[in-house]
Amino acid sequence: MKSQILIVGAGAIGRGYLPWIIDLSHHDLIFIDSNIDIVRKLQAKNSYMTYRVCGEEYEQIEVPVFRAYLTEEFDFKKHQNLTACFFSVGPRNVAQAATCLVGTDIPVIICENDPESTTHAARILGHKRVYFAVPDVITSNTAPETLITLDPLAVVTEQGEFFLEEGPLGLRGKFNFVPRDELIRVQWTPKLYLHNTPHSIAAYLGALIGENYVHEAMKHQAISRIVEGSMMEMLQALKIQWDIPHSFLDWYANKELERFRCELLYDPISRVAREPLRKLEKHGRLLGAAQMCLSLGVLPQNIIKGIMGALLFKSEKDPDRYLSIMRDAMGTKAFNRYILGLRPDEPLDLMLRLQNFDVEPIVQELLSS
Amino acid sequence: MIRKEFELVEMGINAVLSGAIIAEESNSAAVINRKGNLRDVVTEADLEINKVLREKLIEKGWDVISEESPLPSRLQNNYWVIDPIDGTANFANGIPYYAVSVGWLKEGQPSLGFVCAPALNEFYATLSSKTSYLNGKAINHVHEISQNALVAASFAAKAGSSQYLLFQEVNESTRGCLRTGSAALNLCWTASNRFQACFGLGAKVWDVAAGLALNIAAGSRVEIFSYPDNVTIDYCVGSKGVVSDIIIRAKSHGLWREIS
Repeated sequence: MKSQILIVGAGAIGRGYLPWIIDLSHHDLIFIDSNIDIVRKLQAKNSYMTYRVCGEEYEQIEVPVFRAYLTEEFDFKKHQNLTACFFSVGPRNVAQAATCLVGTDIPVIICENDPESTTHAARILGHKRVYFAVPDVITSNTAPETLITLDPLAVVTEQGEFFLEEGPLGLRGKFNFVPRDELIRVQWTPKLYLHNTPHSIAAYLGALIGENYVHEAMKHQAISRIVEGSMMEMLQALKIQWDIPHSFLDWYANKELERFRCELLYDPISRVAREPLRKLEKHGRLLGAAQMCLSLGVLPQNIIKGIMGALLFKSEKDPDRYLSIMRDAMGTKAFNRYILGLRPDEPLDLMLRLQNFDVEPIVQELLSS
Repeated sequence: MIRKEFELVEMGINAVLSGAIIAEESNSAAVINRKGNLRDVVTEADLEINKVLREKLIEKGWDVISEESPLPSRLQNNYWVIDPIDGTANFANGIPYYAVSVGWLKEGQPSLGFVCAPALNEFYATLSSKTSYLNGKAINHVHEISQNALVAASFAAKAGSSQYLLFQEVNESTRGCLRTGSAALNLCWTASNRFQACFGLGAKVWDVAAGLALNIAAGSRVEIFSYPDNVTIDYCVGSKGVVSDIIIRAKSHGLWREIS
């Protein structure tokens, strides 16, 4: 008899990637999501397709859906054979998602880009069986038109690797178990700065010139040059700062650039660029990256352009859509201080104030090539 | 957000930040006047901020009422309410608990609020009547019970002894009752869950208009009694149960009036 695995968050990672690494001959999948459209489709079809880039082609699996629930509909007492739960809901939504599991002690695996979210989840769940994971993969939350026509729930992922904190988990599948310290140092840190930093820069710059997918943005010479430049800035900083083999970092950086250019992934800019305020957090992939460079004597000229892209990002559907209202009303100096948390006149504040939220020069530079 | 509301938000943000810059850069924290008792002080910075903010808002065609200016003889239905420096005694004594406060009253109700505490690097704003933010992050009040509550009180310049009895009772029935010296910050810190409730009796509308709007948008329970003069207010704001408990105690001392 199969045991059951909960997947909270039926988006890119939850729906598109996890079924490739979980052994479906041993585990049934139960999906929980807040999006009623996705949940009702999962319930109606009892299966969906996920595609994986393999060279120049896709491979595919049809994923059986054991059950699917809206968050408020889920009652864990109705499922006695639960092995583990994966969270892939976005760092901001972890606390809310955890409330549906209060009262159980099944292990929870947090696939968010933020080690702190394990602490938040543990506090709400009231137990310590909460594990951090680093899915080293890009997974789109959609698919090309031809595949969507066949199945509206179809998503595309790449091969990737799944790194998971060691723990007493009864999971079957393709997981790389590593001690937490090593997971943070060797997997999460390079992922944050060599993947998330340039990936978000590609997305924000692409958004500025109206592109829809990351690979389309990377076709622009100027964007490609800035993304590669930001990668080099981070690579230089990481080599100075961290005790990680340089050959690994070089390999990682090259691998990432190839990923961003992959034309089969259909990685939406709206997904990568969403919640710009979260991505502009002081110690995060953009400001944190630039600060690390500055503290090590590396001038983050390209990362600054990415930060400007994030500051200028506009999307009516984005949860952080009010960012542009504040930015325009506050002006650069006050915005940097109160919203970005920069000290007045610190180097990064001065570098950003020189740009003065001016969209025209950046767009001109991006389109000049 | 509709255009008109956006313009109001832009105006409010612009005004409160202008005031914060003046407060921060002011070398004029010296008390230049007292307004009737030892606690009610005014500094040069109060007056300068008052002048700049009034000009900015009146220029756009709106009525403005302010702590440091005479009340207009007639008011429009919607108007701005400013407190150039809420917590002037703190400001004058080098204590960082002071704030510039700009509120928007629509049909007499607190609708939008902007509070900046430059010495604390804190900027509170409503971007609509339904959303409050602290430094760009959305804030929602989480309702707690009295046993887990830290409460803040603000006193009118002339507080009767029964107010001190109420203060003592609230202090002893919760995790404590503080006097920070700034009603605007009490309200901001209640909206953002540092306090679970705050109250003030005989407060002035300029002290609290912005903070009340922030709490309404953050989902706090907001209980207000407005006096006929339209500028004096009793308020109790925060977690539902804590507000109920405080109001019951205030009533027992004859300090809480019901709207008849």
